[in-house]
This record gives sequence, structure tokens and C-alpha cells, in this order.
Amino acid sequence: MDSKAEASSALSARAGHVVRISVPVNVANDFTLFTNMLKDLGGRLGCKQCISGAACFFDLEKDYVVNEKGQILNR
Amino acid sequence: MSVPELGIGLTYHPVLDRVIEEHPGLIQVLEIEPQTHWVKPDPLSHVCLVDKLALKTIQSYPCHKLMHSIGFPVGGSRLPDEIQYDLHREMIDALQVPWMSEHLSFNKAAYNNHEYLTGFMLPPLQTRDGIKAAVRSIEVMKSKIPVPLAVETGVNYLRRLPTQISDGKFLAHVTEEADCGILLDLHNLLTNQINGRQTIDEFLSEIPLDRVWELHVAGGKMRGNYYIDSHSGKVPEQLLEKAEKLIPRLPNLGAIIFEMFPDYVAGIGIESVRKDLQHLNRIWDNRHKKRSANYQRSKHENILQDKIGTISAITPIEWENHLAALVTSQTELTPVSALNEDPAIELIRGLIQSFRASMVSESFRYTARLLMISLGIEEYEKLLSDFWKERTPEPFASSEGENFVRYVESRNIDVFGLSETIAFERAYIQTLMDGKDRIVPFSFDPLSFMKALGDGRVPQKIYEGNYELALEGGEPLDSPIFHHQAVIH
Repeated sequence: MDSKAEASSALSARAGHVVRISVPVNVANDFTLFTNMLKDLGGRLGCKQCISGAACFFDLEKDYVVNEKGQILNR
Repeated sequence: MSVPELGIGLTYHPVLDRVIEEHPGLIQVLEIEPQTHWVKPDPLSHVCLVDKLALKTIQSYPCHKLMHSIGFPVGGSRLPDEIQYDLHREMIDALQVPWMSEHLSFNKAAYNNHEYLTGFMLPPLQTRDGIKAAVRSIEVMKSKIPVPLAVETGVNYLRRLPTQISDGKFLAHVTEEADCGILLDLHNLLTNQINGRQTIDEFLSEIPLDRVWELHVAGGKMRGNYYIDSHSGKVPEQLLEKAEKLIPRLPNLGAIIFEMFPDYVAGIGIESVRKDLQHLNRIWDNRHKKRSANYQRSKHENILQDKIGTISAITPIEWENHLAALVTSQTELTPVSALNEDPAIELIRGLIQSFRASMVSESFRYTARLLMISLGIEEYEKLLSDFWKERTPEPFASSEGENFVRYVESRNIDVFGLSETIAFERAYIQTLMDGKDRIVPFSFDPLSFMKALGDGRVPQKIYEGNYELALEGGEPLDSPIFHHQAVIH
């Protein structure tokens, strides 16, 4: 979302209106710029694939989030 | 019995669509893990549906299909869930698979009279009673599915107890007595060898090679002192060499499947996957030229004559309950001291936890990120750890995620925007499932807030006000025109 749209929706809200933001479900999860690795519903909500090792998705997420200074939290 | 010769293939995941489309000559088989293509309309119910669009996509590929089940193991004393048979039969019919495989492992146990799923395939008790339990499970499954069944050799990180027979001997007895095929996972054997269990050669000398219908190959990595079966990269060179020597000795081999966990594909690159597929195709093409004329069953037949002691200090069901309770962190101490003292227990605990934490992040990604950013990683991991003690694992990410957010809600954690973020993600999942429109109220601008979480950072500014985020539904999930792109990002 660009800053112009951000400011516009904020202004509307301050004017006392309810701001309804319509998001088609097919883009509702597209706020993120992160990863296109898991693209199917099964991968996101279903059973994990079979391995007898470790899943790495949580580790990737830990390395992705940053604090207010932009520093990676996982240290 | 013999099975048709299908060729080389991959474990199917939509992430690999590009590889499949760009390399049709290298891939003759897609192996489907059925449970990964099921969805739960309600995360808290037991009802599952086959994802029809995924099924249609898989059907559209002009190659053979195999089915490798991952939630229905046949190595334990508890029988596979009746509820899964209909879904298996539906997929077997739709994909016309010539045989199906399952794991010679267990994934169900009980603690304090509560039966639960372990979230991980665990090794069965390798005794005479353990053989009997596995044979019973296999026979029941064989009677309920319309295609032949093969069982997969598992990874076993534990030390072998003196009262247990070797891995090869156990597999030989089970498959001969149950009269079924073998899915020989060479990477599992390599993992076991590196971690100090049976060597690959010794294992192979003990099993009926004419029962091997399928091979699995994969890559792994070290985790602490253990080599783990993570399916995280290239197939090790030594494994390809082993496969090349072994394949001519397998008179009934039908397929070789390269297993790759989708989360790792970006890391190793499509090119690397292509090279491994090329190598496997060369081995496959040469299999008849090198076929050994002197296949012998003698050694393994001798093994079947060996007497297996019937006296064991522990029954299969006790083994399953104790081992599962330890690795799911429900207890630190069982009556089996060798299990309590095995350092692999800590490893398996960590592996199960990596799955559980990943499932929460996959299903409730923004909630998980908000908690990580607001509480810090350490505090968030402590929260997960407390949750794991309260709830046993769920096989579906949506169910594991829903259980976790319910736990978070019960803790009344003071994090700005938490309840709205949970409400949004819950509504998002429900709308994906049923296609219905939903409205989620926010007391601040949701777009700038979610955008920040999407970028993995703390929201810089909060624009307070009355907002509603309207999720516009589409076709419900079991409709053939549901758009999967809904979650491509």
C-alpha cells in the first residue's frame, strides 16, 4: 500500500466515517512481500509433507521479522 | 508379485509445477501424498475433503501417478483410522494408481487415557509382538484398498534396545508374513547408518529384494550430532552410487522417487533438482543392461528361519505410549530407562516442535509475526512451548493454528492489534473454505498495519478510527472452480 492511499484511508476515518476496505479473498493474503514458496492451500492449511527431519518455515520466519530499527530479531 | 515399470518421479507439491512442466522428459511419475491435498472445512472437526482443484491439476499431468500415504501408518498396534479409507479410495480411483505405500511406523498413542496423534512417524517395537502388530495393520489395510500395498522402511534415530531385532530382519519378517511390497527409502537407510544403527549393506542383505517395488532418494543435513532426513537438498553422491549398484538387483522395481521438501526448493534451486533427475534417469535407463542374473534369496531366507525371542519386557502398545509421551513432551520419565536416557529423544522433540511452530506460522502468519515482533523471539518461543505442553499435535496446519490462537486468547496477552489480527486471519481461512463474504471490524487502519506485518516489521504509525475489512469470498473450497491463486504470494 502506498503512502498516499494510507493517508487517504486514515483521513476518511478521522472524519468520523466507517471506512470499509474491500479485499477480495484472492488478494487478502498478499499484503506481504515475503516468499512465494508456499503457494497452495494444502501447503498453508493442510497436512505437512512427509519427512523425518525438521520443518524450516518457522526458522525462515524468525529470520524475517525485524525490530523498529530494522534489525533482525532472531539473534 | 510384480508391478508395472513406471520410471523416475518426484513427490508432488505445487511448488514443483514449474519443474514438472519444464522437464516432461525427466519425470515419468508423480507421487502424491494424499493427505497434503485434503482440507478441513472446519479446523476443529474431523471431516476432511479432497481438494478437487489440486486433484484436477495432478490429473492434468500426462505421467503416471503413485500414492504415498503419510497419515495412516501400519507399523503400530493401533489400526489406521477408518475415516481415511474413503478419501484414499477416491484418490486411488481418480489418479489410477497401480500401487500405494504407507509407513512401517506409528503415529498414534495414548497418555492418561487420552488418545492422540504424535505429529511424527515414530519407529515401532522390533520384537515378535511388534511384527505381529504390524502384520495385523497391513492385512487390514490391504483388505480395504483396491490396489497392492507397499510399506516404507523408516528412519530411526533411537539406539536399538538389546531385546529388539535388527531393522532389516524386522522388515523381512513383516513383509513376508503380511505378503506386501517394500518401498525402500535409501535416504532413510543412509540416515540410520550415519547415526549408528544398521549399515545399508547389512540391511539390504537381510531383506527380500524381490519385494522392493519402489525406491526413495533424498538429501539431508546435520542437526547437532545427528544426520537428519530433512529432504533438504541434493541427493548425496554416495547414495546415487549405492542406488546404481542396487537397482540391477531389484527384479520388481517399478519407480524411483526423488523427495524434496518444498520449503527448501528455493534454497537449492531448480537446476540442482534437474541434475539429480537427469542422473536418476540415466541409472533407470541402464537398469536392464546391468541386471544381475543371480538374484538370491538365500541369506534372507535364512534370516526368516532365525528364531525371534518371544519374551520382551515391553509390549508394542506400552512402547508406543512411552515413546510418544516422551517426544511430545508430556512426560520426562517412563518405565523404560533406555528410552529416557536416549539422546535422540531430545532430537525428535525438537523435530516435532519445528513442525508445530511452522504450522502455526503458515496458518496464522500475521498473528505469529505480531507476537514475535511484540514479545521478542524468546518470549514467543516460550509461549509456543507452554502451548505444546497443553495440546498434543494436529496433522493439519489449520487445526494446529486454531488451537494455538485459542490458547493465546486464553492467556489475555496484551499486544496492540492482536485480537483484530486473529479475527482477520480466522475470517480469511473461513472465507477460503466456504467462499462466504466476511467483515472484520478494526479500531485502526488495517491496511497499513497488515502491510507492516507483511514486511516483517513493527507498524510505524497507527491510524485510529472505525474500519471494516471486507473479505469478498469466491467459490467454496470443494468447488472445482475455486481459485488456488488465492494464496499465491
